[in-house]
Amino acid sequence: MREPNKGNSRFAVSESDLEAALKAAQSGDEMAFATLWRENNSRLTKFVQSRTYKSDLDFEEIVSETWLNVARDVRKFKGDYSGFTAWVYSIARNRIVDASRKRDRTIRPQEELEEAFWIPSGQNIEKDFEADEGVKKIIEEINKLPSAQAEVLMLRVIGDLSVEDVAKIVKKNANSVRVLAHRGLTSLKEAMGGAHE
Amino acid sequence: MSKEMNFGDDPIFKELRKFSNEATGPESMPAEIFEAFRSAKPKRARKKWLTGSVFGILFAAIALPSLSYAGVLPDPIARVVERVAHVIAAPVRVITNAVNPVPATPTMSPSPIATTSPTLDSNTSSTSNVTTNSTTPTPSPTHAPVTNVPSGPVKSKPVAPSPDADTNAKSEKEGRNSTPTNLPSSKSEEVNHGKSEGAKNSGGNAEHSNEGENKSKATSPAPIGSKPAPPNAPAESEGRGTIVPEKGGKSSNSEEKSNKE
Repeated sequence: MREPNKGNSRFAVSESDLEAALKAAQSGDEMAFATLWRENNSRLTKFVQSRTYKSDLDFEEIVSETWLNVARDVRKFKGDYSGFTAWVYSIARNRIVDASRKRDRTIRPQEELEEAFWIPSGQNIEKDFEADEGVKKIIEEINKLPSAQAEVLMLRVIGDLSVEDVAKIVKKNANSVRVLAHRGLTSLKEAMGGAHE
Repeated sequence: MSKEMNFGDDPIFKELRKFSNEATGPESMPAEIFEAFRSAKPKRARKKWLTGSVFGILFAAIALPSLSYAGVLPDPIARVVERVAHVIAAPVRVITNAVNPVPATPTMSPSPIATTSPTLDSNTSSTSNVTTNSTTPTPSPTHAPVTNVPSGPVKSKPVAPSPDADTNAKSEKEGRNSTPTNLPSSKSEEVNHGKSEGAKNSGGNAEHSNEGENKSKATSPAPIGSKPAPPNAPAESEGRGTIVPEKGGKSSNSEEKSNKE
């Protein structure tokens, strides 16, 4: 089970309070929805930032679209708070996929980009990514792994989600998620040269 | 579970976990997300529900009576549907009757046809009563026209028994139409009688033709509005419809020949 308030939220909110906030938000309480946003936004932003690291995708836009989607459809959501978190991350994942597809469709030659003063968002992400060099390195190495393994590792570590929640997000069973996480961890250790062993 | 704990506690992710636990980003929720949350109020859901229910009711109102009419629905449901349809249709029927009143039958309203109709003789009144009773019973104006249509002339009771009425009743039972005897154009019957008699005699005897008329009178009542035939009127009786064979069928041709010559 996911433990809330591992230090990333500014206010201490218990699991039961979050459950109550979810119910209240579904009945139209704006403050309750703000509580949910505050509890999840930081981790979600870091997950999206990590997944789109050194790419042309604008992570802020993806996070914003994700929350807009959540705000529109939170009343339709059925489930507990753990399921809600998994739902939010699955929306973010879908938005990342959509954004990457959109980018592939609208790719333009370099000259045009320069003319339009369009700066690749990857540069922005690198600029805004205020993290240690060690963190940047490990994120880079994770992103080099096969996509499924990288995704599972990010969700498990940065999103701090359980195997069951990750299984819901990536639409696989729990054992597959465990296998993917284990393989990813092994590959990552090999790539990092056993420095952390 | 122990594996999961090991996975989470792996030192390779120590820095990454620390990074994810740091609180960054804006402290308050952006206004656009608030707006999206507000705009997604249950208005949409209510609208959806309303439109869905309206369309559903309309569909049921159209489909159920037609299904019951087709006999698809089981009896109790069909009865309920018919009852409901009847209840719904009743006020509409009242309104339509008020707006477009049911045209009264000729016996009820003083129409020009009724005033110009020929007066009946005392002899023929019995038959005429029978027919009028059978065809146009006295309907009450409040009743619907469809429901008050009599089931048939057999059910109606004659006012006064008469031999003519008996014959009519017999003919009705046998399935024949009784109107030819009552029609004012029974003159043609006379003519037909005259025809037959005249054809038999082929001489154009007036008495025979009168006999024929008398026979026709005996079997059928006097036609309404017809002139009574004079006792000795051979020319009329023979002249009408009787084919008098000419002596020497070529007479007309011979006359033509003579004219040519």
